[in-house]
Amino acid sequence: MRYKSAGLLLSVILVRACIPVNPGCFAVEHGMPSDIIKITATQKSAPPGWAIMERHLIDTMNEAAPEFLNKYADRGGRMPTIGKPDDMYEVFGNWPLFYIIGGNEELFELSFQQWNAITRQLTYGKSKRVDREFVMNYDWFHNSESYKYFYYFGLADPQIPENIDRAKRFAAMYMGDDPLAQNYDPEFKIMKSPLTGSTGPWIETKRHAEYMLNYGHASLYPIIKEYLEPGWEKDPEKAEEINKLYNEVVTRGDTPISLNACALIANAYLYTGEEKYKDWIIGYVDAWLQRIEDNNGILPDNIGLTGKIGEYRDGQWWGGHFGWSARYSQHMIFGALTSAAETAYLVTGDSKYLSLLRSQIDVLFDNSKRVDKQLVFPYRYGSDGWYDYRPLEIRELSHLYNMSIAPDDWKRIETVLGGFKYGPRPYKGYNDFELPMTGWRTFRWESNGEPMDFTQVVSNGDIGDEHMEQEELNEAPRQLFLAGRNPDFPEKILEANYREMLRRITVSRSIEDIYSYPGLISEELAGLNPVVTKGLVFLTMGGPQAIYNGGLLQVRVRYYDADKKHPGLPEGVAALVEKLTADRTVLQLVNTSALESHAVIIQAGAYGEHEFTEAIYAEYSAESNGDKNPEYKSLRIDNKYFLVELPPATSISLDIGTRRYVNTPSYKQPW
Amino acid sequence: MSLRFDFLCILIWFITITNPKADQRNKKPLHLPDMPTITATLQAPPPVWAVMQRNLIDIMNRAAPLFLEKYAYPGGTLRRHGKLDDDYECFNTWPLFYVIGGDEKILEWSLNGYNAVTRQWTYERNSVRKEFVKQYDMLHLSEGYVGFQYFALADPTIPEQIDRARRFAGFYMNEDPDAQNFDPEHTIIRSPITGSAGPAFESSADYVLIYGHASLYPIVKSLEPGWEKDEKRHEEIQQLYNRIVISGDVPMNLAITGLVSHAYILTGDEKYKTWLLNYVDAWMKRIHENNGVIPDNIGLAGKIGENREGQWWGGFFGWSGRYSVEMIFNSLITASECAYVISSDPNYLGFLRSQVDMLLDKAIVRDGDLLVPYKVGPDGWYDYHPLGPYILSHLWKASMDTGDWERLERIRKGKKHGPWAYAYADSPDPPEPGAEEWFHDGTLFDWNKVLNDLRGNQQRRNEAPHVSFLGGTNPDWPVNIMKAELEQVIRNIDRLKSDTYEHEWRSQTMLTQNPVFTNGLAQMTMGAPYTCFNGGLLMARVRYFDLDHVRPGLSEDVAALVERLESDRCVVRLVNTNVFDTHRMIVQAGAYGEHTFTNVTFKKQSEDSIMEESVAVNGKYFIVELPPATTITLNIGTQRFVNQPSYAFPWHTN
Repeated sequence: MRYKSAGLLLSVILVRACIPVNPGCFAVEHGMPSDIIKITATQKSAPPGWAIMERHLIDTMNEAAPEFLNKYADRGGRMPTIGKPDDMYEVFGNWPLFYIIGGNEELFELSFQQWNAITRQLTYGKSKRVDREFVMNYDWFHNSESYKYFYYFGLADPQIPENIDRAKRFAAMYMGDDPLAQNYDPEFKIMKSPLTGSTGPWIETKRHAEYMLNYGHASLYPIIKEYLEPGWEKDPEKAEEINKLYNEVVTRGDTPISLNACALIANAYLYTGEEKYKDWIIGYVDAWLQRIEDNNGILPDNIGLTGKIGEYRDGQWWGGHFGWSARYSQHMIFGALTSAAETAYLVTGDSKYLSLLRSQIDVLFDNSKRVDKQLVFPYRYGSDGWYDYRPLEIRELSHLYNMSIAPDDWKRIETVLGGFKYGPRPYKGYNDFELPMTGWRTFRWESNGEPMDFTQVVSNGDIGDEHMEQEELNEAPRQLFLAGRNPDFPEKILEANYREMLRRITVSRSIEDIYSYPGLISEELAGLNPVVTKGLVFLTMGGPQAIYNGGLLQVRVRYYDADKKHPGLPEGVAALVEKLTADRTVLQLVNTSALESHAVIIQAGAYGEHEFTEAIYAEYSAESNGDKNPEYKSLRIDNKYFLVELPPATSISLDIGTRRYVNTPSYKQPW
Repeated sequence: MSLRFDFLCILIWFITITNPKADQRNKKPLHLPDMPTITATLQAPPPVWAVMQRNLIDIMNRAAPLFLEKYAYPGGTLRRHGKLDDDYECFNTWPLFYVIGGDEKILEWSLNGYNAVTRQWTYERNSVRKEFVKQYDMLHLSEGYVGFQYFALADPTIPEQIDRARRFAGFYMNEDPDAQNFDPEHTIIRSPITGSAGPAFESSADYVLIYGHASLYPIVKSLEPGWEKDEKRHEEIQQLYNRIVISGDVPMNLAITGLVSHAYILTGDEKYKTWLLNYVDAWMKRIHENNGVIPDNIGLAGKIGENREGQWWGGFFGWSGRYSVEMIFNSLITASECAYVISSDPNYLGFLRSQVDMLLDKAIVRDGDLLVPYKVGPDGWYDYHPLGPYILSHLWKASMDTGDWERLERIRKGKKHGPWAYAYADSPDPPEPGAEEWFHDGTLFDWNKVLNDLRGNQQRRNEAPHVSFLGGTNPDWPVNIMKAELEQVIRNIDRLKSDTYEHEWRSQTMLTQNPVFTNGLAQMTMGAPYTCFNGGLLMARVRYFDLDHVRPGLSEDVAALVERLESDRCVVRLVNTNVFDTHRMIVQAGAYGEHTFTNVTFKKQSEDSIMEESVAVNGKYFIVELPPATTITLNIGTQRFVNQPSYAFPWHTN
């Protein structure tokens, strides 16, 4: 078409800009630091299978994601149903993470659009759950799930003023700086309720007790010692009495679950670098460390408004909201401890904060026992002491070791894995769907005699499938891989993720009319999101998934596309972190394209918290490519990032000296 | 960046953007009501205007992202601000452009932009509550939401937009306990400044009085310059201002009829229609009570001139104001058009007509120019300007009355000289006494001339050449309007690329770089006047739906020209500029299906002969099939304003 060619010519003349599919991203002129160290890959070879699979997985998810969004979100982003806020934010939540791994920029923009749309829907929709863009009257277990995804936007693009503003506003709600949201008491260093948010602490609940007590999420012991049979709420007098008691005993004061708020404050710190955020985290975590000390080394799960342990329970340190006696006890508590320990360590570089988590793991160890040659640990504490013994998943231990790389922490992992000989997994059958309202009380884990093989991977998504997302069932095979004992882990995890992605796409496509899909609530939508990032995080970044309860991503490396000047592995480039020690990072980069060159910036730590000292790599000359011995080079880096150029079909293995937790962490990108 | 990379980017982008995908959300099989199909048979090279029209659409598709690159962060929030209405105005034309035939991405971006501006003004500026401005004068408020109204033409199924439409209209029907803007007993909106936080009874007097937008007469007969500099005097005047000016109803508030009609057309809920007609009726009654002149200030007890010892002029943005006629008549245009569309009662056009005639009755002739008084003061009517042609253009296009055409002819004959009515009043500085009086500048005013250097509300100045074209005296108009619009687009692209461009009205710097111009295309393809700037709805004779991609707008490569408008028919020429592909389109009667097509007559070519053929339609739609390189001129019999207006698309059943 003659005028179409004219159109093309005209467009070439008129438009000298980057792909405006997502305009607005490049308007700020970026400058590359001029002194960045460059290394060029020289090994030419056909790319290994894992690299091809990795790219194929990324490319497929790039395609599948918009189809998913267009099916379930209306124009403008409204979701078909309003669910709980955490469930809604989860549906597209991992897309910005996928972007910083190497997904399309479009997916970041779309997920940001969705975050905004969901926030609006929760603000202006039929049941208002959000005010001033932050959730109201919610506990930090659920809030952490929601806001984990908000933190990813900082990794994706830390220069969006609206998000910087939000980060500061949200943090202010938990530092006592917001007159409309006085959730925190700086004098006693407590959150005033387990239920907090943009309208302040929610102590005078109306019918909260009914659900929480009947499902066992909190106890009234020892004020009421007898078991409250569900049905008490039908007697108006009894209901009034219990609700009143609940508001006095359960919703007043702090619980360790609120430690999940540290990541929210850290998020503001990572954007702004303002010391007050770091100081707050130190203050709050120190307060909890003190409480552990005051309670003979055991984390107390309920603190009153004047800072006393068990203030409303005659001094009893257990029984609190989502606490030691609750339905998901160990799981919820340790999620919060992990998130806070990681966060505090990240922002201070002081490894003492890891003891927040380690000390409580050791409490479990101290009360562990051997039953039929298995090492089992108590999951709950009640009026008769420690009970509900099951094997331990290494989720928290793996996160701990990821930060500490301490031999003793590895020993703990070995001990736990060694003692977990036979299944089933501790939460099998223990999820909300399978466990009836009161069944959790009499739950007993029993071995089924099936041997555990921790080199095997589990095929699951980031969240929202038959397994409890929080279990992180792939931490064991991942750690064994990093320890050199699970060599085909990369292929296995990629294949497992691919299989899960495919399952979701297939189920989603089979739904003809989304509104008639039985049980279409937002919880289930997250289970149809085809973007699965966990394997990619493991392999390319050398770290676990962010802990489910609002943890920050804690990985050894992240990448930027040096040509396009934005986050993520460039098109065609695959990465594999093969080994992590306390002071070395070994990773491979592969350019799977036989035609295109790419350039990658490798950054030490998701927040530049680490420093690369020197990099050792092999240099192949034209003659020595293939079989001949390459020359090994060592190059000083002494920076938090360096650049690797990858001509077509080249790969490089880098053994990088790493000083960990030596820089102030920040979302800042290299330019 | 390397040139090769540039090219790659552009190529990828070109491919994605010039193949507008089917509406990705509409995956269901298409159910259309019964409608005839008319197939074009005459093959011919396309006329120049058709090629220019497609070219303009293409270029604006490419240019729109430049605006976002310069001014939007990821997520859509803006890097810079004007006033609230200015920020919204940056995107106003974008959904309309999509409705005409622009790329789907442009609709998505503008929706994103609308949401982002709303967020910024809610959380950063604290000016917006429940997504609607808390308190604003109706002039600026109505300007801000014109774009919002266009979203429903683009997609009436967006649930959030339906919620908002109801909520916004509801603020003026007292549905929100915190926003009791309306007094149903006296049928007044209770202040010139209203919104989601209810009516304001206090507002800073300085700007409004210094710029002459309201008067304190006769309570203060003479306000000395510099009054604001003396603290005591300032306080005194401020109190008087609050009491006299910021209290009660003003004609400007009629602009809210746009949003209320919008809610009616979107939902069909009768309460909106009832409210609107009741409100307009009340104003029409006040005209009767005031000797045929619309009074510009009504007190809280519903009395004319209640705050001014009975004096009917002097109100906020009223007859003594700097832009008196422009502001009052914009509200009248919006209210008359809206009331007419939703009621089909042409008496409502009489609302606007009555005030036009009232001014024409007071006309004088000076140097061959017919002038009407624009202001009222203590000595009566004064400040003579020519009457802006756009007012009668709106009236005539809606009514199609020969009487209204005669009025147009009268002012055409009566406007020999330039400049345009407000040429001397277009300054960001306060008016000096007498400095803005109109006098002719010696040039002859050319009713055929298309202007290419217009911003915002000034686009209305191209109504004159359009009307001349429709009247048969401006045959070059189609090419000229496309040329002029393209020149405006190019100018704005240059501004976008410049690091230093600033408008003398700083708050308009961003919106004067918006490269999406819809006025010429709306006139050409739909026979619509330039949408009334203050809250107006699109008043189109026809609109189109692309059947190939199942979305609003002209099909790819198809150009349209409304050649003639008459009260019971219109003539539309369609051209397929593509020599390879057939395109199919639905033609709809009216932007809201408010009209009914009776029959369509056209020429059919078979072998050697060309015959005229007529197809009965008796409905709101028919399909046109345009094989490669064909053109067709459709003579469409139309019964106008006979159906309840609705935003529903032809394939939206129920």
